[in-house]
Amino acid sequence: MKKFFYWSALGLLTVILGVCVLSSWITPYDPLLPDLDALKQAPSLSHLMGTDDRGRDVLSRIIAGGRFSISLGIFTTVFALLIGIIFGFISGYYCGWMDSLAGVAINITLAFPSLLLAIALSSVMEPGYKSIFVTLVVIGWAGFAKLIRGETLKLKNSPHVQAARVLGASDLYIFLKHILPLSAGIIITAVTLRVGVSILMESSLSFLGLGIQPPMPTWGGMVSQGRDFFRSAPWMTMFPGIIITLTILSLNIAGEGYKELSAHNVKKYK
Amino acid sequence: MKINQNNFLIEVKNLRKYFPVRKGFFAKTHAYVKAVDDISFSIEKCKTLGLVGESGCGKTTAGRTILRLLEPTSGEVIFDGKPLFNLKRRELKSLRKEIQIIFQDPYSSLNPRMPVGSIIEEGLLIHRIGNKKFRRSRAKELLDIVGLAPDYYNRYPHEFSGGQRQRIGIARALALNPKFIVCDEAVSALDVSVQAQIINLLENLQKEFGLAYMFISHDLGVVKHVSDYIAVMYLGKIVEYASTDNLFSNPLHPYTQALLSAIPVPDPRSGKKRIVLKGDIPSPVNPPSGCYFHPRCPQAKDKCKTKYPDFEKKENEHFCSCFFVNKQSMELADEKN
Ligand SMILES: Nc1ncnc2c1ncn2[C@@H]1O[C@H](COP(=O)(O)OP(=O)(O)O)[C@@H](O)[C@H]1O
Ligand SMILES: [Mg+2]
Repeated sequence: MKKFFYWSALGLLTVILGVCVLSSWITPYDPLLPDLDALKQAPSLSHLMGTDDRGRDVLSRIIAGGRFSISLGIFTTVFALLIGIIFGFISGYYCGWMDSLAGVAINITLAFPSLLLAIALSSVMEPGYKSIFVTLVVIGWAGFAKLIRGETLKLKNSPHVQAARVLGASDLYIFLKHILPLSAGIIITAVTLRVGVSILMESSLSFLGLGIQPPMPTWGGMVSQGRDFFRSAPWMTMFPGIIITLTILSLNIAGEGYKELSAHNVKKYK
Repeated sequence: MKINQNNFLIEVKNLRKYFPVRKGFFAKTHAYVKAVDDISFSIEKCKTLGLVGESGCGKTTAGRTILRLLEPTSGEVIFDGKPLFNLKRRELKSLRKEIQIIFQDPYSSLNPRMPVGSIIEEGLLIHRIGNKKFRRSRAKELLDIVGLAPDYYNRYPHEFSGGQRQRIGIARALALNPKFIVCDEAVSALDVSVQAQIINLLENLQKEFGLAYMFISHDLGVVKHVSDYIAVMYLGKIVEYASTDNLFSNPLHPYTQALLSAIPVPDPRSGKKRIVLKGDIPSPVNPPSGCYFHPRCPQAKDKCKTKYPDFEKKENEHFCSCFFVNKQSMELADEKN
C-alpha cells in the first residue's frame, strides 16, 4: 500500500513536471491575455478550470505559474544544498572554531521562524524574482548544513575514512568519495521535502504580494488574486490551491517513501 | 628506551596523547584522558611488535597517533630516519605510502558504495600511480596475493564474509608497498578458524614483502603467535617489554603474570593457577597515585602507592616497571653469593 502511494506520488510529480516543462507549447490559451468576453466563467469544456476576473484561462495560468513555481523550488533548493554542503562539511569535519562559527549561523537560521524571516527579507529587497530567490536560499541552507554536519561527524571516524586518510587522501577527496555517497539517500529525501517547502513558501510570499508581481502568474499569486472573488468564482482559488496541495503532498510522500525504500535496501545488504 | 642502536624502522619516543575532557559548551578543559602516557618502543625491519593490554588501555590511540590520524600531545616518532611529526604536508603524503593500517571491523572498514577493485586501487589513485589499466592489473594481482579470486574486482563488499573482507582490507594496505603496517585488532572480530587463516596470511606477507607489523590485540594468545617482541600496556603506559619467548617464559610484571595466567591452557593439570585481578581498570582520567597498577596488584607494598616505578632494564632485552622485580632478582643474586 505504501509502495502504491509512493509510485502514484512519483507518477503525479512526473506529470506535473512534464506539463510545466512543456508549458508554453501546451497551454490552451495565452496565460497573460485578457478576454473580456469570458470573464469569470465557470469550468466548462472550453475552459476546463474556468476563467478569472479578466477572462484568462485558469488552467493555462496554472501551467505557466507552475513552470515558475517549480523551477524556483528546484533551483533555490539546489543552491541551498550547495551552501549547506560547504558549511556542513567544514563544520563537521574540522571541529574547533570553524565548527562553532558555522554552528551559530546554522542554529540562528533554524531558530528564526522562516516565514517571518522570508517576509522580512523580501520586504527589504525589491519584490521580484531575485528577492524571492535569495530569500528561499537564505531560509533553506541551514537545514542542509545541519544534516550534512551530522553525517560528516558520524562518518569521519569510521574506519574506511581513516583508511583513506592513511592512504594519503585529501579532505576534499574523502568528502566526495566517502562521505557524500554514503549520505546520498538522506540528502535526496531532504531535497525532495525542501523543494516542497520552497514552493509553499513562494506561494505564501506571492499570496502576500511579496513575490513575483502580476500579471506574471504564480500559484500563490493566483490564490491571492482569487480571494476577492471567492463567492462568485471559487474556481479561481480552488484549482491553484488543489495543485499546490497535490504537488507538496506528492513531494513529501516521494521523499519519505524514498527514505524508507533505501533504508530497506541497506538492511537487505547486512 | 634503547634496545639496539641500529636497524630500527620505527622508533617511538615518549609519545603522549591526552584527550581533553570538556563538560558543557563553554566549560574549560578540566582534565585529560591520558590515553597514551609516555610510551617508547622501537620496531626493527621485518619484525613484529605485539602491543597487548585490556581494552581501554590506549592501544588504538597509540596506533592512530603513530599513523598521524590523531595529533600527538607530545613525543616523537622516527620512521626510517624521518621525524614523522615534523613533516610538511607534501612529505607526509608521500610517507603515507610506507605506513598502513588494518582495522578490526571488516564491515565498517570498507566503503559499502565502492566496488572491491576501487577500494584496493584507492591508494594508487590518490598518489596518481599508473594509469587505469595498470591500477586494474595491480588490484587483481593484490586480490590474488591475499588469496581472493581476481574476478572479485567488480563485486561490492556486502557480497563477502568477514574473513574475505579482512583480506580485501589487507590488499588495500599492501597496494602502495608499505614497510610498516599497524594491525589494530585485525583478527579480533573473526571466528577462530578464520583468525588462524588471516594470521597465516599476515605472516606469509611479512616474509614475502619484508613488512614490519605493530600487532595490537587484547588477546595475548593471538599476539604470541605473530610477535617477535611484546609490549604490555596498562592505563596508557607500557609496563613490560620483552621478546616473546622471554615474556612467556619469564613474565616479570605482576600484570603480565595475571594476563598470562588468564590464557586457557591446553592441559588443565599443568598446575598453573589463574591470578584473578581485584577490581576494575581505573579511569585514565584519574589514574591511581604511584604505580597505576597498585590497587589491583597482588604484590603491592606501601612504596607502590606513592611513586611510579621507572621503566628499567631488568634483564637482557627485558624491560619492566615494577619495584619488586628488581628486588627479587637481587635477592636471587644475593642467595647465589
Ligand atoms: N577521541 C577520543 N576522545 C576522548 N577519549 C578517547 C578518544 N579515543 C579514545 N579515548 C579514550 O582513551 C582511552 C584509550 O582508548 P583506546 O585507545 O581505544 O584503547 P584500546 O584500543 O586499548 O581499547 C579510553 O579510555 C578511551 O575512552
Ligand atoms: Mg582498540
